[in-house]
Amino acid sequence: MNHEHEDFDSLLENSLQTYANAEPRPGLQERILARTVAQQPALSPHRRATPNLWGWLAAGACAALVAVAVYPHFNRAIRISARRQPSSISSPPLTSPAPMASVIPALTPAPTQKPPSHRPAPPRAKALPTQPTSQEKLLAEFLSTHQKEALLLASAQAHEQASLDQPVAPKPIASTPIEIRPIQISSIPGRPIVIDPIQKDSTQVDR
Amino acid sequence: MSRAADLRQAQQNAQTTADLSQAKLTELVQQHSRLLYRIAFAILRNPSDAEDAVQETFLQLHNSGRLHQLEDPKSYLARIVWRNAVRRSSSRRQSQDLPENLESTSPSPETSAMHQQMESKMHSLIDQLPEKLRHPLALSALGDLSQVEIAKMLNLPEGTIRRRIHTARQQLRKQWEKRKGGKA
Repeated sequence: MNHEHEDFDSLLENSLQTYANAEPRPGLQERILARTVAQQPALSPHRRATPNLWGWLAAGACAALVAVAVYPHFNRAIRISARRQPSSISSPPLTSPAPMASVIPALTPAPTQKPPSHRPAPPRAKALPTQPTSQEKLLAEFLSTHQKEALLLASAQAHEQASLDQPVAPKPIASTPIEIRPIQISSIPGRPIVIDPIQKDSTQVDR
Repeated sequence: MSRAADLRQAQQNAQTTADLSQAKLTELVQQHSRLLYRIAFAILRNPSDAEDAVQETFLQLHNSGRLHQLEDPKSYLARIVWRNAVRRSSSRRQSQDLPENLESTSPSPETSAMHQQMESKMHSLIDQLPEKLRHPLALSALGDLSQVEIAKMLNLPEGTIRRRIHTARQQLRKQWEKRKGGKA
């Protein structure tokens, strides 16, 4: 029995030893390395640079798309904000006394309303100077010293403006009747026109 | 100009990384390819299939980009090659023929034919074992892997590995005696 056990154990060990003694064919390592090298992607500067380049191109395209999509909204917002600006803000500040304040807008040139443009509006701080201009200073000085003249000028300007604002009544156009004279046909003086009969040339016929 | 320099630098870095990876891979192949082949052969019992499994293992490692992150390359590679071999063996049932390059350990030429016949029978008995018993037995027979490493490879407790090896031996003995008794 023990002999059989020993036989079995030795046979099993021998059989299992074949696993441990298994040797690959010569050149296995070279074949493995060659296969990994063959499957390795080639390294070239162009290949390496391509993903970055494509990335930058994609980012640029996205930025352009966003700009195109946002620009109309941005432009509309600027127009709306320009419309909502109160007119009093655009007029220069007044340094004159209170009773004369109503005269100043008539004497100063009226601010021209610019049509909305595509360009963004300049900053409002630049549109509203904190210091009066030299013309405004002169005007204020004139008002303070010559109030009567200023009033006269203002009333005259207002009268003129009112006359300009009045609708012009249509005036009847003085029309004289149109007279059409009959056409006078007179005979043409001179000799009457005589048409001679056509004569054949005999030489041409012979040809 | 700076972009060109960056490109050159990136290319140099990539080349350096590739060289390092290739050097590391070469080192791993030289160290572990024989063991991996034996593991694959213990499972597949076919030299060309075993070699394919080994090549596939190193390719997977190379493509995974974890060449420099392996703490225990031997265990990792053994586990991968074992999985590849098991997948191959399940997809392609190998023949029962003995491989050509098995070395006979018979003591004398006279008894060689008889021993070969007996070993062939033993191999067929081993092949008939269920996989959960056959794999621990075959891997333990390699001698290059401890039971702890086999347990880690198969993702099983060490005691389970020991018990399965013992059960495999018992079943083989029973089968062997049954066959001998049947013949007698």
